Amino acid sequence: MRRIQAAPRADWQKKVEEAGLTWHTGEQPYWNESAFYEFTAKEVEILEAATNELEKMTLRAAQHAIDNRLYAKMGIPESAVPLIESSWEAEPPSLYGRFDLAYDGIHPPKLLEYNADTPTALLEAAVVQWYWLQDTFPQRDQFNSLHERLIALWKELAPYLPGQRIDLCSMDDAEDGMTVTYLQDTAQQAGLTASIFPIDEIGWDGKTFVGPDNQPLGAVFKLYPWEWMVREEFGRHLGTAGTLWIEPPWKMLLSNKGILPVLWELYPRHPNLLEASFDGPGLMMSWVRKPLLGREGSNITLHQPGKDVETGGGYGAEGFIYQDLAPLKSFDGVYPVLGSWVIGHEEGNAAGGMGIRESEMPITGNLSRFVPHLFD
Amino acid sequence: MQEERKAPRMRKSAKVTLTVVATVGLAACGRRRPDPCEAATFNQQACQEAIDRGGYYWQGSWVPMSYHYPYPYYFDSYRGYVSRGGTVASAPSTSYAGSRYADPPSGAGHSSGSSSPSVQRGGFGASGAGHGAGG
Repeated sequence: MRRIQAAPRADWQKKVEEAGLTWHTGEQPYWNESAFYEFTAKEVEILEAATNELEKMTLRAAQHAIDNRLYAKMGIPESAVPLIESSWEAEPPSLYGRFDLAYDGIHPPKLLEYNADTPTALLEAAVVQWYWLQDTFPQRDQFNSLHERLIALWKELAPYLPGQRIDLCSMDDAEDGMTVTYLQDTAQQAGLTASIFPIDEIGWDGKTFVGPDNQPLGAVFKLYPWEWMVREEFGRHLGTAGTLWIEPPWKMLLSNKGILPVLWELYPRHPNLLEASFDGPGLMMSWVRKPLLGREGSNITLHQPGKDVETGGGYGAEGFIYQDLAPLKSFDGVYPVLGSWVIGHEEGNAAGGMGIRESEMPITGNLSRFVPHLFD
Repeated sequence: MQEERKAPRMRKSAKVTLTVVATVGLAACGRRRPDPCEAATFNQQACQEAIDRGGYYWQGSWVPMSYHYPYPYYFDSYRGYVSRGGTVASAPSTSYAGSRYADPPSGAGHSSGSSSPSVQRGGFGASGAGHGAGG
């Protein structure tokens, strides 16, 4: 695994915009093709295998959390339990998730966290870096079959979606909007009817959830966290309405940082896990404290002997977990985190590709930059 | 016997094509339902219809709007914007068609929004107000 400096394409802004990424430059460039990461085929095999293994392990961890009713420990309200349990039993459609991994090309990949409910940075991984590769190194390979897998999965899910229709909702936010727009595109390419509207336009007519046109919502992809939905005003209708939600409510268990200590309990010293605990750092010398329901690197405490780094934010009311500090390796002074995607849940074949975000500090936040990759 | 050499399995998508994303992304500039009467996303036909109907369909979903001026006002604004060097990224007319159901919802044509009196809205979205919800 190497980080290689490269000259950006002359008109890279135009090219990434043409691929749908309109917010490539904020306070600093978010899309960064002045470098790329190069992997060996063996390293990609390791990442792919780890992702498939973690996928299998997290499903078992969800079952364990349900069997042992770990809800309170994970900060999940009692009102959400029937939703979680009924959706776990019914196995409704599920689309995707992203494991964030620490990896240096030497040691096994380590799971930092699992964004199983509302992962973004999908368009960049599936499309924008694919076009970058076609333009720059067309003969080389990339761990990225996300686009094809998404279309194939929508086709598989079609019989379960009423009217073969999916409505996609998110906050009216540029990044979230691009993610749902891209998913809409893949759904349409799979032959589904698909529309988009902001999540606050979902209505309740007394019996069911309806769209902006007052028609019942059969199936909704929502890029909006379950932990927020269940606590909001319409949360009380979730148990009675017939709407099929993607991701399903049981994903609340996996997107919760509490799944990390559950995994460690089930698979102690597994090579792809870091020690994690609900109760405190214990004997860990260097550790990270994460809010159970934290997002985008907020309210993280990174502790090393004699040195603490904290990030701000408004999360943490539900509690925290402690995780052994991953030995993140710096490449050219920056820290990459590998977002390894799963599409669907087919055992041993869920890993679909990866995207890399890097930061100046070893905490990935919303100012991290996306850097493309390739391998031979 | 010579061992057959297998070609390595490619892990990248063989083909990545987008149908609406690029257009939408450019036209929306962070907004997801570009107003056909706005200069930067102007679409002549869709704007005229939007004014007549009190809103427009975007990718099959109804967007209620209240236009306070007749069509020529928006057309002149658009022409002025272009003459000043403004960039226009119009979404195709097909993006403004394809309603789920044949006609705009009742109440369209007025500025009353898309809700019927018995439908409550805004019950989701409060926690994410002002920022995104993805991670």
